[in-house]
Amino acid sequence: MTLVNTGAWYTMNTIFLQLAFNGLVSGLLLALLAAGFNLIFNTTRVFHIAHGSFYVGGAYAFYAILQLFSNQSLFFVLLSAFAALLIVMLFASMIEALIYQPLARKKSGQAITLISSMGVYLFMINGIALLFGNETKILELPLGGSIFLANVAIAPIQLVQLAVSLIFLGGVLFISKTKWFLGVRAMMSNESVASVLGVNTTMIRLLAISIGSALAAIAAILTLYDTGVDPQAGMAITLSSAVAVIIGGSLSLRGTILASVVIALLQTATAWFLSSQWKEGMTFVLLILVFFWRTEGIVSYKMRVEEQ
Amino acid sequence: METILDVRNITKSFNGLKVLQNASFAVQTGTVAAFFGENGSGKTTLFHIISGFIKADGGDLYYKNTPISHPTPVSVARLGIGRVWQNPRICKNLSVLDNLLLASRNHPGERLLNYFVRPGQILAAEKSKKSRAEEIAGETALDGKLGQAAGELSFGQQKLLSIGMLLMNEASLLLLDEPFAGVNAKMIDHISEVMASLKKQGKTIMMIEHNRAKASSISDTQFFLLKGEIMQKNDVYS
Repeated sequence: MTLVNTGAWYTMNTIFLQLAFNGLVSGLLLALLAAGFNLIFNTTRVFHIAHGSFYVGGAYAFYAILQLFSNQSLFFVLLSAFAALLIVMLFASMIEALIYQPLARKKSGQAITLISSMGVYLFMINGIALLFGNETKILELPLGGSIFLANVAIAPIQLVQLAVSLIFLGGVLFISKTKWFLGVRAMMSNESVASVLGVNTTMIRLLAISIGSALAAIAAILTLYDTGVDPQAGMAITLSSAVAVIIGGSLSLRGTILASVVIALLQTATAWFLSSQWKEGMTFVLLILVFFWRTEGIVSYKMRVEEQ
Repeated sequence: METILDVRNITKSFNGLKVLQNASFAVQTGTVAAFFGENGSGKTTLFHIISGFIKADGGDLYYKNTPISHPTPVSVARLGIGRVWQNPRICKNLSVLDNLLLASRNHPGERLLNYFVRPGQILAAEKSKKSRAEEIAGETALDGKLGQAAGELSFGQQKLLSIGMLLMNEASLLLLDEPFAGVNAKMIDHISEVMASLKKQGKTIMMIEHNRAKASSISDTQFFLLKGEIMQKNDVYS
């Protein structure tokens, strides 16, 4: 009896460890997207549904550029990734300059900017599907089989995803400590005060949407080597990242990253114990539960009652 | 004593109603000037024009003997004219320290690229700006509150933070819109002390105030606005 219990415990323990590791890696990828969404939402005040189209666009741009080279060595992979990020940043800047910025100047409400963002999303996704077709694009990483650590299977792509996500999230957290980002935080708090204090709000919006979209593209390229990306992948991932921003406390990048990991752990566990079809549903259950607990999200700022 | 601000023949009308009529006055460097008048007498309009928030229909502004040709809020702030509003304009989600640092000018870190190409310069700037912010927090009696969110401060402390932000912005001329409004007697004394200390440092202060007794006691010059015209105290008594 004791032996059976030990064996069952051992198996459950391994499953939990495996789920935790898979969830952590997915969480860090989601954190890249959500950090980008946070940056864009808090500077432009646009609920940027089109974020998902830059996720898909980044993956397809990378895929298309990489196909131009017969040699797919690390150098060409990095070159293609760099070119794809530049394309995504350029497109994102165009959307800001041609759509979001003019709407902001006209003081358009959130409903108008949301619908505009949806329009951008549909336009880009349909364009991508027209150019590349609807099937899932997937790439293989020529790095051999999984390695095992404490009975947890770790695929080489997961190690790459872990390392790259940590590097870029570290970069995001570093930027969040700069004087430049203080301008971003001031915009999040009160754009008119920021502009009177000499903060270049136009340039900050442009940079924020470029950096945020590049983060989405990085997550997409890393996913391309794992489960692949299809044109419709953008909406679900945008909603998950939006939920991460809300749960984390919309003004906190650290909160967004933490919430992303929590959401991904929940989604991984849901897919294992229930069904992968329940993943998004459970994310919104978590959102509602957090709202009951803390309406302002996990990481928030103290205020006097009359300021809230 | 030098003139820091010279206002000449400023006029402003809204829908045919003359709010300011040939308003002219001068403020000397290192003094405190108080502006009194009934509601609607044009005090706030005057401050809006000086700080570039609205355009005058006519007249000229001279700051340190140089004309301010096309005043905008940002260009005026860069000249060294800062404004504190009746309801403090601060970033309430940011800490007191961050609000002060936000107001600092000429920080190399405003360009993100400098963090990678000039890290030494950035470190030196961050150290000096932080120590200046701590100094200003001391001057405005906000030391000990640097880590607190600005939204947690009392209304009076938020006004002091606004003044601190102007100092961090290296403003020489401070326009204070009703600094004593909405705060208790103790805070009024406190704000007065801070203003006296700023005057000692050579800053010039212009304030709109309804608390005439208190404002008169700490000001060097008093101006009265009546039907859009400005009179100095001596003119009124004569």
